[in-house]
Amino acid sequence: MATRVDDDGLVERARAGETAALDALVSRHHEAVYQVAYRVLGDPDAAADAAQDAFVKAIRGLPGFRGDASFRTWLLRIAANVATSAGRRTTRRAEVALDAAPQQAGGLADPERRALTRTEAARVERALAELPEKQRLAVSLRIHEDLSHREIGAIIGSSEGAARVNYHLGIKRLRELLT
Amino acid sequence: MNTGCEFYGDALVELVRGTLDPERTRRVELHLETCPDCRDALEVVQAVRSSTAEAPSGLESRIRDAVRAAARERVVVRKPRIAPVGERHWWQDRRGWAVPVAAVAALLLWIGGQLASPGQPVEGGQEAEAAAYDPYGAWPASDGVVAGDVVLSELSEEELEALLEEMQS
Repeated sequence: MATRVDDDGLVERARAGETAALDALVSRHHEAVYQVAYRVLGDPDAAADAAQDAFVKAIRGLPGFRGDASFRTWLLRIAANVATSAGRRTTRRAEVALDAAPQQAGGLADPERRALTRTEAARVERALAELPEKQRLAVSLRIHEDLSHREIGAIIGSSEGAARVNYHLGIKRLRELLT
Repeated sequence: MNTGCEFYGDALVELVRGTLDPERTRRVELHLETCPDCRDALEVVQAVRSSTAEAPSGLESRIRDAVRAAARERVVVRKPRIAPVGERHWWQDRRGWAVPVAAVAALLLWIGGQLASPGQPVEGGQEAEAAAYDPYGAWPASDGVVAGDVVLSELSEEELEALLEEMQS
């Protein structure tokens, strides 16, 4: 909740043209925006482009942001839309290669263990890539971003109930693929 | 798979994130001992959580630059586009009402002229009226009311200026 309050203040200052507030919003949310774009597109370069586009669209649309949802939810919805549109323009999600697997959180000193972890990460990536887009986003937004099903529904363009179902279906399918 | 399991959903995510309160943590852990479905689901949540896609280095500064540029554009767009007073034509000084008022005044003058000479027959009757259709939709009705005046509010500034010019000629 504190983040919400802080975001509201930053948004107001950003609307007034304060560069420091814009920078703070970017710093705070760029990883989540990239995460969403990556989950849709499955390609690091395309996801980075989409993340940038999403921020630019959000800043241009800031006068129209009414605060019905949190800024973070609104921004992530823009990111999902931008990435989905970008994915339609290109043939999306080539097979997730081992090299394209995202890095695990936290560094590991042992090279052998690091290689094993990387292999496991690639396996999870391939499993996530198997899911339909809404299920993939629902799982990622719930687990990586700790968003509620209501917030997830707002981002993927569905009801809270549909978001919850997408999450459960995604977990069920991942369970079949990973365990 | 036991999709109706009480602990299958949100509690596992909270457990992995470490945000579950101690009492619920104890209950979930007890449940996990007897529920293979939830143990599998917990593994999935842990695996997904450990595969966060980290943003490439340099992305933050790249986005920051793009956002600053977009914000500058926004400020430029918000600047008023009306020319300074010295560079404006007289009718641009009060753009909101000058042209419509002039158009209505011209219409009233024209109607007054028509009413002042009531004896003149209308050539060709209704067919001639249809042929002489005013494309701007402003014409006097038989009761003297300007039947097309409502349409004026729907015209653009350019159309109003064209209408004014046509009526003055």
